[in-house]
Amino acid sequence: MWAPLAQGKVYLDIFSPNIRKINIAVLPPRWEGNIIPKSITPSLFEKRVTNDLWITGFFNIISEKEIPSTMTADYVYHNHIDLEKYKTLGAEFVLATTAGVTQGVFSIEYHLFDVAMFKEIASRRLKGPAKGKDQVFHAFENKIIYYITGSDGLFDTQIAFISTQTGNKEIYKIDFDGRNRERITHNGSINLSPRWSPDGSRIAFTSYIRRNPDLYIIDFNIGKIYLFSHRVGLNAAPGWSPDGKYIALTMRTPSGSEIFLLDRKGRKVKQLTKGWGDNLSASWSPDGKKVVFVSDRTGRPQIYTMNADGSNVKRLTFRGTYNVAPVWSPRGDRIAYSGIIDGKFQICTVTLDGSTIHVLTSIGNNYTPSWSPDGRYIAYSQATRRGTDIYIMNFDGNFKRRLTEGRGKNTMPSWSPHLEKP
Amino acid sequence: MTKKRLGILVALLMVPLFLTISCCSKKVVKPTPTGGEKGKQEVTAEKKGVQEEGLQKKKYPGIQGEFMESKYLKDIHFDFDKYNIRPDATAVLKKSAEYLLAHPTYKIQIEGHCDERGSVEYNLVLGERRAESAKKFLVNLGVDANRLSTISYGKEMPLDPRHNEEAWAKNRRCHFIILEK
Repeated sequence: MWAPLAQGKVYLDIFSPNIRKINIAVLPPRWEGNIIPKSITPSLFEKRVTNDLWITGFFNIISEKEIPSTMTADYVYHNHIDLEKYKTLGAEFVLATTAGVTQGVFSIEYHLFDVAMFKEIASRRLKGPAKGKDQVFHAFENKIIYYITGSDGLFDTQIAFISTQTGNKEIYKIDFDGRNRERITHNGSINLSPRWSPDGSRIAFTSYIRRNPDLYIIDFNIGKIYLFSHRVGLNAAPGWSPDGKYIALTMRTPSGSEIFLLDRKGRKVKQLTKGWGDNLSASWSPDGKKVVFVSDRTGRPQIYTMNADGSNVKRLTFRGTYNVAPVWSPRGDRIAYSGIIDGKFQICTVTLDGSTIHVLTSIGNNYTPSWSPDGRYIAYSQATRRGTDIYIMNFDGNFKRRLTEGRGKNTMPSWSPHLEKP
Repeated sequence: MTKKRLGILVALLMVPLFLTISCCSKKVVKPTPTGGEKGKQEVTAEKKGVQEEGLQKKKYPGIQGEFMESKYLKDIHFDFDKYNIRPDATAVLKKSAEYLLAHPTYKIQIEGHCDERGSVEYNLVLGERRAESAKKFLVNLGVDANRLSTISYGKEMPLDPRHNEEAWAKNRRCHFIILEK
């Protein structure tokens, strides 16, 4: 996944400090055929591509408005691109597309040019049923991101979250680009803590349907929601192991809440934490060897790590008096969490030795971080007087954008893995 | 919340009505001399001025099962991020224990609630602690532990939806419901 391109170079290492945005000229599409469906016009196509590239935070877009009309006409009517002219515009890349709908099939052909190298670095034609046009866009846009950053874009990922749109807390999901907000649960109950399984086929969550906070699983493969763990007391804050075989669950014991390991059938395999206050909210390291969690054994909630068998418990956070909701980065090198700083909850990251803390937010109260599958971004929930919405930012706190737009309070995001086969 | 407050208001307005009804019905089902354990305790309860009121069945939206609420089972309150039973709560719990001892068939659920501050998951754990504290206290006063179940709602069911100290103080509570009579 992190191997450099075999045939090319990585233009943008998005994990290096002080990343600089890349200037890309996006040409209006050449349109094939006479059919222009209302849902995919050339102008909507261009808007979408421009917007989607922009939301990644990697680009300055040079759009049609900033490109002299003679140059766009050259392309659209004569299929001609003079890279020298784009160089003078300050473009480092030029993205040219041909798109259209023929007999119910939507296709995109793209050509990506490296202006400095004066050559085309990628081109391909992608197609799919016009009704599933989003998937064609996703595949196309993921490829463009891939050619420039060395790893696939996230356009085929979704974020599950909780919304109070209907008055109670139900589970919803929304695409990375903010499209296709969709309600998943319809039980009218209190639903909490959705967590996507590592293979993307399931979402675990807690619900009060049976007058107990039980754990349920939404299985997209079979299209069903089933009861997974219903021990009396909490069945809360599920943490999937990276191989998807176990869930570390917060449950009641006579001495308080503890983290237990449940297998695929919901059987208790092992108790991971023991004694001294409450232990909760487990999240696994990407190699499956460690678990990060919250404990109030010192009287206040702080973040700890332990081995996946419960041994070798170490306290990770010492700053502040209320640090919760830890999530291990998919790259393995840091942990994001929500902590009180000057009376407000902020999203922070901490390195594994606890030595370096970065505070990534500053406005309102910020809760429940969730990493993108490649560790480039963090989704979180931000509550201000104007509302509570899911936001996405780069892992270093740059380029914050709002993902949900009202319709109730939107909280507890969980980022899916890649969901579409390339 | 508002709906709940309206419910309380309606309940208060209906109290006189229920009193009359319960007076009448009391006469009809007056415990016989061989009334046994239950009859005896009802008499004790009456002596103490604890009277059975009309218990209305209620339901939380989206949560299975019905329950009842008694005005003799009052909420107790907690300090921020704490689950110890405060001195003002001990008097309330003693009265609740009397009521429960007088109604030995009642099955009670103790709900632990928190204010809106802090994280959803940490508040779930705190709500468990609060409910368990109240349960322990009632058991120590002689209430059979098997009659008392506990549940944490964390910060998910605020009584007062406002965002100030007055509302928070109300919301940090244990609420007691009757699941079975």
